[in-house]
Amino acid sequence: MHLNELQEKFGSKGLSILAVTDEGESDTVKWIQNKGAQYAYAYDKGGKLARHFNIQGIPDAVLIDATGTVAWRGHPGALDEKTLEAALAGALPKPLYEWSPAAKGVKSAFQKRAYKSAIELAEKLPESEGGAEIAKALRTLVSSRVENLKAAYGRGDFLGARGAATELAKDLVGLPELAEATRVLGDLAANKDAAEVIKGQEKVAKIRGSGISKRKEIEAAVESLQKLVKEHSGTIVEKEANDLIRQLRERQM
Amino acid sequence: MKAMKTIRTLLMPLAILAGAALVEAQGIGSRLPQVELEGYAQTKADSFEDFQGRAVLLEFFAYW
Repeated sequence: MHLNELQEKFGSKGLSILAVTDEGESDTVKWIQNKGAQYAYAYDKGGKLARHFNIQGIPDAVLIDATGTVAWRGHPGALDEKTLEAALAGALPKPLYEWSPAAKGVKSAFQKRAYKSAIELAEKLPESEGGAEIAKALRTLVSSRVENLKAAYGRGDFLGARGAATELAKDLVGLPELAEATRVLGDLAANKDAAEVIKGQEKVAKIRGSGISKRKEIEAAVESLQKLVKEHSGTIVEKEANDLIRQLRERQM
Repeated sequence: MKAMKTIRTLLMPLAILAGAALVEAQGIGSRLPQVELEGYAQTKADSFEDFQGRAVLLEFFAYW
């Protein structure tokens, strides 16, 4: 499905398409017009974001879910609806910049991730300003984040669960869902196996973030990663390390 | 430099074919870094924070 159609169909379900380039403004405007793209676009000056995602061939797409986590990446034409719909779970049907001006306080609280405040303020807004709708969207987003947290812990992504639980422990203050985040943090603290897995995940993340490109550096990194696969076999570390090995080998091409 | 560009152009279709197999690739499950983009167009958003709470499909285009 063409991206215009994707934006049209899934916009009200929480999807925002954002085309990103490091080309200059005049080239970009020309390309956008030629393509007939109707969705948002912006400039990645110096290619910083592309480097972060190690964009190798173009076009390339990265799908970020409503909780700010990378859900999928690949050729834009290869994105299937099932993957997309999973990423849309909990997403705001209306983006912040389309909320009524009367919801300014809600927006501010939301961006500060003070969800309790945001929900309370939204519930005080009159029906005509879409208050109930916004409150519902916020509650759905909160549930979705909690579900994602539980799923991460369930599949053994203890590093991801720790990060998410730590954030939620701040963001959900005053809300009943806070107990879920606190519980996961408690479980993690008590789980010695999880502590070992987290150590392995952190080592993989460190190699991933090191931005190496020279052949010798890549070979050394692959060797370290293979060691991690052995040390932590049967855990998520094995999968993450193998994924990174595959990716580093592609970088050598 | 021109030779490099030619090689990259030849490799691009490979990269695109590999794209489907890269669905499991590195980065999935990672959190987004601080995103600093400029010159938002065809949208009322003027910073990445305006997309908070939305699912965002980033499409990288026109590099080299």
